[in-house]
Order: sequence, then structure tokens, then C-alpha cells
Amino acid sequence: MGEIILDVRDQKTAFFTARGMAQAVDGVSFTLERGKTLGVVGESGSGKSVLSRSIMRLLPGNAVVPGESKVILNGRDLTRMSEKELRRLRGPEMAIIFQDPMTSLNPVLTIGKQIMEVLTFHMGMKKRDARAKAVDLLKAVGLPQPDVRVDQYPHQLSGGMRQRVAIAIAIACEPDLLIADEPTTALDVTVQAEILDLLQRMVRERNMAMILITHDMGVVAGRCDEVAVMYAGRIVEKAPVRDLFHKTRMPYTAALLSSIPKVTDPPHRKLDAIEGRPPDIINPPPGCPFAPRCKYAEPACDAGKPALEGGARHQWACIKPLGEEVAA
Amino acid sequence: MADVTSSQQRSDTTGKPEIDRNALAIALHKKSRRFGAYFWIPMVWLIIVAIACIFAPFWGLPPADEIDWSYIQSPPVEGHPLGTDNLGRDLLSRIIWGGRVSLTVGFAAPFIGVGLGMILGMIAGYYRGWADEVIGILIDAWLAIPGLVILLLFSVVFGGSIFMVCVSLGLLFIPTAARITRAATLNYAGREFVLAAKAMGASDFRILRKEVFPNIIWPLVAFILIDIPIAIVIEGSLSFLGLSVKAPTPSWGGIIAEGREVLSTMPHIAMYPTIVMFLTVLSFNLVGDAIRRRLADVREGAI
Amino acid sequence: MNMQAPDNFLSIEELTVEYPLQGGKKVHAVTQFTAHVRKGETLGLVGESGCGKSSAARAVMQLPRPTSGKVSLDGQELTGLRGSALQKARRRFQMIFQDPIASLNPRMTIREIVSAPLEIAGIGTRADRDARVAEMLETVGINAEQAMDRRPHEFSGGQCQRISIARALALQPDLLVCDEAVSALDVSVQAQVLNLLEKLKKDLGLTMLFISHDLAVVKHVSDRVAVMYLGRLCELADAETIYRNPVHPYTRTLLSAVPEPDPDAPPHEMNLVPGELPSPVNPPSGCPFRTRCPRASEICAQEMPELRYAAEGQLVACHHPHLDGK
Repeated sequence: MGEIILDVRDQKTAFFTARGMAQAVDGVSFTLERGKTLGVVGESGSGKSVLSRSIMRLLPGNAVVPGESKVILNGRDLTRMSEKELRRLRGPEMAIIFQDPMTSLNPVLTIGKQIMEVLTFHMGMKKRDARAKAVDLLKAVGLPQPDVRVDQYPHQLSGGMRQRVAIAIAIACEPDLLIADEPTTALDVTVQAEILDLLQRMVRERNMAMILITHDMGVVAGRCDEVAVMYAGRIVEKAPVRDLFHKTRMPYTAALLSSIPKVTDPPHRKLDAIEGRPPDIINPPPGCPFAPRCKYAEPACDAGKPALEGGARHQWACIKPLGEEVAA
Repeated sequence: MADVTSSQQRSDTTGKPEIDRNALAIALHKKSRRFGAYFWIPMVWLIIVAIACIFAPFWGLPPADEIDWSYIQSPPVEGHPLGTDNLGRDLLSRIIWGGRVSLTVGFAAPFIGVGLGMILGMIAGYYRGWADEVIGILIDAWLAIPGLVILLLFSVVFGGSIFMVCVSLGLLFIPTAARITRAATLNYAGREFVLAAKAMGASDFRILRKEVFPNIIWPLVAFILIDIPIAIVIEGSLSFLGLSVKAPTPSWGGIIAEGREVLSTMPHIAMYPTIVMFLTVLSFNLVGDAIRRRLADVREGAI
Repeated sequence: MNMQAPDNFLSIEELTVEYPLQGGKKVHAVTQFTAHVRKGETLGLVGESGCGKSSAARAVMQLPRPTSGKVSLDGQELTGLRGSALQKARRRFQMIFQDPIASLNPRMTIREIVSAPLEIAGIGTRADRDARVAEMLETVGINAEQAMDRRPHEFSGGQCQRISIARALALQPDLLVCDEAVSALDVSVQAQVLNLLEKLKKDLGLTMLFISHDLAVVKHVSDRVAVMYLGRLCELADAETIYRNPVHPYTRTLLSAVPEPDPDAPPHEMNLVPGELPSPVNPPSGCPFRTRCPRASEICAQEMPELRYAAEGQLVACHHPHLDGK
């Protein structure tokens, strides 16, 4: 229904390593509407972080992206832009928040200066106006005593406060797209709840689109409209959040859900652990990447990588999807 | 049964059009992982020098202090491939015998310095507390004394044996080696595997020997590689000033000093040892750099 | 204190851990922590960063000895041991750490790593030790033949953690302390290692102290759970009770903040007084949680609440516990 902010088409990102080409993202496509939050879930090696950097075009030197991959933000193709043009976009149109606020903030600059930097560069504000706006932003993200904190250094703040500062920097220029890459993984659970509340509020108030990347199914359940599950660089299931949990189709998603311990479980329940390990993205197995660990696998699964199929809202990459109702 | 990932296997990636766009970057990346010309050419020179110097007695050269009365201050002639010096001694022979001094000091001094510095650094970094404070003060005090003064003192007090030159030069390397070791020890001593060893009841000595030492050796190797050419240059300066091994033992710096007096008439006396020393030090630097680069790559892969 | 369990296999009494800082100040990492664990039981220790759970675990392991307090294992007082007596006693309690790869010496082979405790204890010949190493590796699910001569960097995080477990169990200890042992692992690998720990605990009759910030994981492996805040014990009860009917305001806050993997779960109501976690260098007077507790009153600032029974088997240190049930 809403305006489409982001259109990712067949994103493929590979890295050259000593052992060969590592296909970190292997053909990911999705669209994202204004006001919606897409959760991207996956374990390490699933390619979720590389995907976020591919969208922001923040890839290292040894990354290889083929010509067919396109990232279209607000109607413009980012893959065709120069670094100079991209720099103008990062801030006003798209912004990213990283996992570790200690390393994503400059330790030798005050928080105020770091926020002001974004405002003066992108919006051409004068220093005095920028500083006032910085204090406003700190207040908006719920940082206590913003007029005092604005002159403090990152090390004087706790992890949760630093992440609020990172969010303030990200939303300073009112971007249309906000990518949050594991924003709360390094934080305590009570702080996590507060930061996620803040992010949801920001998205609602400023009508942004957000991609929330995490490995935590609990975070995804409560905070996202739609969820994409990634495995070995591909989206293996994408659905509105309730459908993902209650009408799971992809065996990996179901296996993941039943292998995590939940607070509502009785103690000492034997977890349905998924055997084996995530595949080597340098030498992936032929066929479905999850087949070696899937309890429903059959010989046909090794034949080729299954394409995403299904309806407009719920898609899965499996030739033998699970039935209608799966106990989550 | 979990299987084990294999290391160092190249996959077959020829023929994919997407890769061509970044072929240059990939080729450069590959190149940095092999030993190239910058390693082998200087290495060849070093091998030549090493063999020449180690087997000096066997080349049938005229003894380094033998005076050939017929050819004093002579440019290259038959029997004297590099000519003779102002006393008529064969220059090639003197340079080769002098090389023994330079190489000996060049290797022994860093090893002595790093050996002692390593022990001090490990104690400071592992035990912390007052041991760290005391050793820190010692190092600071040591660094505050000008190196030249120490070398002068040693030379005057203990005379000019090659052993003394090695020891006094070695002492100069101790503080930096200790600091490097201390930093590396701090880095590793805090890691969980050291804590695990303590939890198993391992003695401190065992921990230092088996857990810490194998991990801190790499920055020290890099440091030694840098120090060898430095030691050779310092020894050269010392012998130029007459503070190294005493005459008649030849040394590169000493020959250069002798050649300085007749630089306008007989430049070859100063020039040949200078060229040899320059090439040798340059070669050590190049080889050292290549090895250090390789070590850094290896270590990254291992961790 | 009248504990229900007659046999206190692991007894922690008034454990206090303080780290000196410059200028005469101290970090109060753990203050007067008391807990008793029965043989074969798993005590889970939860809390957020700065609560002192890791410090308490290390103090139990005598790494280093706590500032004050007593730790006894099977009647033997560990805090009083020194030197070779302590070294010998160490065979009975071992630890698994959070970072699986940093727990193994990158320069050693797996064989050397897992046989180290046997070597240090001077047990058996080279051949005996190799046999035991192979046996332990197979028990934790690592192919011994392939693994013995390789180095840690060739293995994944989950495999490294298994190797750490093999090493810890080589001497058949009585107590296993797991300090965030699965926190650094992928979700699917976490389940494997948790299952492995549960199985080994049953097969070998281990007593476990399981530290984690992840409430779901802790509930999973623990028989009883202790909740810590700023170095103090808030609540101690058996796992089912503490999650179903938490009595301490902090426990309730913690549980309400855990995101449940169920999109239909009602949104949480955290009920925390806005503010920052106080510094362990300068903890608040009286109850440390009072600065963020919605039920705090004057007495909370004046007096540290004593550990009392709120219900059978449920200990709580609070002046205003939620005794009414919900």
C-alpha cells in the first residue's frame, strides 16, 4: 500500500579470499515500503551483515558485485552512482546503525561534534543551529541531560546511551531508510528493550522504513512487520511476522524456532538441535544449502538451489515446504 | 561426527565474467602473498656474503694483515682483485674478514639484547605489580642514558674484543625488546587460555614457557630482523671511530676510516667496503621486510 | 540460614570480591554472596552486565581467591588452600569460558591442549594420555583422529567449545563452572552444546554453576537460579518457580524485558524507573536496586534487605517483594 523506498534486485556480493571466492550474498531480492520494518534473521555466515553493507554500498576492496545486482533507493539506482554521489545520500536518504557503539563512534570527538558533523555536511547548517539541533536530537532519543551530554565523549557514556547517540546521528538528516545491524546484541536485555522501543518509535514518528538485522527470533517477533530468514547468503523464507511463526514453510525456519530455548519452556527440555554446521560459503554444497542438515531432505534437494516460490506475501525456497500449521 | 574444515584449498574459479572487473585487485592481492624479487635478489647477495665470510679461511686469500710491498695503495691488479690499502694489505681479504666481524655483531647483538629483554618483558607483563614497576623504571633509566656514551664506556673499560662489542651493542637493544615483549605478554596473558591453564593448576613457569612464549615470539622475530642491519651499521660507525675491534683485526668501518685519509687519491680503499656494507644492510632490510610481511599474513590466518 | 538441602556439595558463603582502583577506591564486584548447591545440581547465575556473576564464578574457581568469604567443595575449604595443595585440589573443579577460540592456545595442537591437564597432574604415560584425549574428544563429538594434530584456528566456534569441554572434563572433576559458555555461539550451535552439557552432566554426575545473561538459556539448564544485581543476590529459587512467579522487582523487570519468539505475546511492561545502572565503585546505600525500583521506599535506602524465604524454596532479598502473586 505504501510508497516503496527500497528495491533490492538480485544482490550478489562475493569476497576474494585466500581460499577462493566467498559468495556471501547469493541473489537476494526484496522491496521495502515506507513505515514498515523488515526483520532479517540469520546466523553468522548467513550474509545478513554483508547484505546491509551492500545496500549502503560500504563494501571493502576485495568485494565483487556483478552488474545484474541493483539497489534502487527512492527510484534511483545506487549501483550506478559514484562514491561522491553516494556520500551525499548517506545521511539524508539512508543511514545505518552498527552493533558496537563503542567502535562506531569516534572516541576523540564529543558526541555533539559528531552529530553536528552530519548536520553541517548534509544540511549546510551553521554551527550554532547545528548544536541546538543536536541537543534536540539527543532529547528525542531519550538521552538524559542532553545539554550536558552533548559535550561529553563516548567513553563517558554507557553502552545503551552510546547506542542512543548512534541513533541520533542516524536520524539527524531524516533518512527514508534506516538499517539497524544487530543494534542491541551487545546490550543488556533491559537496555535492549528500551533501544528497540526507541527505534520503533522513531520509525513511526518519522515515517521511515527500517531493516532490523538480528540473530534473535524473539526480537524479530515483537518488532517487525515482515521477516526474511537468510541462510548461506540467500533468503530462504520471507513472510509477514505472524505467518512466519505460525505458518512456517521452510524447514530451516522451523528447526531454528524449535532449537532455541524459550523462557516459557519447562527446564531441561531437550532442545531439537540442528545437527551439523552452517555451510562453507567458499565451497558450498550443490543444491539447497540447508539440505545436509535438514531432516526432511531427499535426493531431489541436492539437484539445484530451490528458487523462492509462493504467494505475494509469503515466499519460501524449498521444494518440500512444511504444511499449513506448524507448532512454533 | 563433526568433520574438520580443511585449510589452504584453492577452489576452481576460472571463467566467471563477474570476476574480471576486479581482476587487478585480485592479482595484486595474490602477489602480496608470495616472495617476489624484492626477497630473492637481496637474499642471494646475503648468501654470497655469508658464504664468503664464513668460509674465509678456505678461499686462499692472502692474510688480512699481510703487507705486499710491491703493491702499496694500488688499484685492482692481478693477485689483488680489489686492490690494496695504504699499507699494502689485500683489500678483498680485509673486506671478507671484516665481514665476519660485522655479521657476528649483527646477529649476536640483537640476539643477546632480545634474549635478555624478553625475559624482563615477560616478567613485567605477566606478574605486573611491583615487578612491572621496577623493570619499567630500569628500562626508562636505561633509555635515558645516551647509547653512544655506553658504547664509549664499554670500549674504553673493557677493550676491543668482539665479545665486548656484541655485549655492549646487545645491551642497547634490551629496553625496546623488553617493551615489545611486555606489550605482547599483556596481550596474551589476559586471554582465556592462560586462565584455563591456571585453572588446571599449571605453574607460572609452565604457563610462561608453553602458553605465553610461543605466542609472543613473533613480534620479537620481527624486531630482530629490523635490528640486524641496525647493529651492522652501528658496528660500522663504531669501528670507523676506532671504538670497535682493535687493529689489526679488519672491520668495514675501520677500512673506511683508513680510506678516508686518502680519499682524493685512492678512493677505492674507502669505496669498496662502503659499497659492500651498503648492499648488505640494504639486503637485510629488504629480506627482513619481506619476511615480516609474510609473518603478518601467516599470523592473521592462524588467528 | 536454614537451607533445605542437607548436603551442601558446593558451599559459597559471604563471598565478596573487590578490585582496588587508583585513589583508594574499590570496585565492589560481588558483595556477600551466599548460595549452596547440592551434588549433581545445576545452579544458574543470571544478571546483566556489572552484576558480578562472572566475578563470583572466578572467585569460586579461586582465580584469584576472593577478597573475603568461604568456598567449600565436598567439605574441603578451597579458600584456605595455598600452593601445591590448591593445585592438587584444582583437579576437582574446572571452568569453560565465553570465547571458545580464545580459550585455546593458538600455537598448540588439540592433542597438546586436551592433554595439558593430565600432564600437569602428572597422570599416566604419553600413550595413556593420548588414549584419554581421544576418548574425551569422541565423547564431545569431535573426530579424534582428524582433530588431534590440528590447531584451533581450523575449527569453528562450536567445535572449539567442545574441545574446551573435553579439556575441562579430562580429569573427571566434580564441579564444572560455565561462564557464558554458549553466549558467543550461533543459535543453532548453542542448542547442540547445551544438549551436550546436559548429557555430560547426567552421565558424569557433574555439579554445575552456569553463568549467563540469557534467561532462556539459564532456565533451560538449571535446577535452581540465582539472580544478581550490582554484586548482590536478589532472588534464589528453583527454575520453574522463579520464572513463573518471580518475587523480587528486579527479577520481574528482567523477565518482562526478554523478547519472546512469539508474535502474539503481549508487549512487555518493564516498569523501570528511568535512570542509569549505578556504578559498582559507588553502589547505592541499602538495596542496590532501589534507584530504579518502582516499589522503593525509605527503608530501602537505609537498610540492605536480608535474604529471607518468600515461599518454600524461594529466597529473596527485598523489603517489598511481590508476594501477592502477580
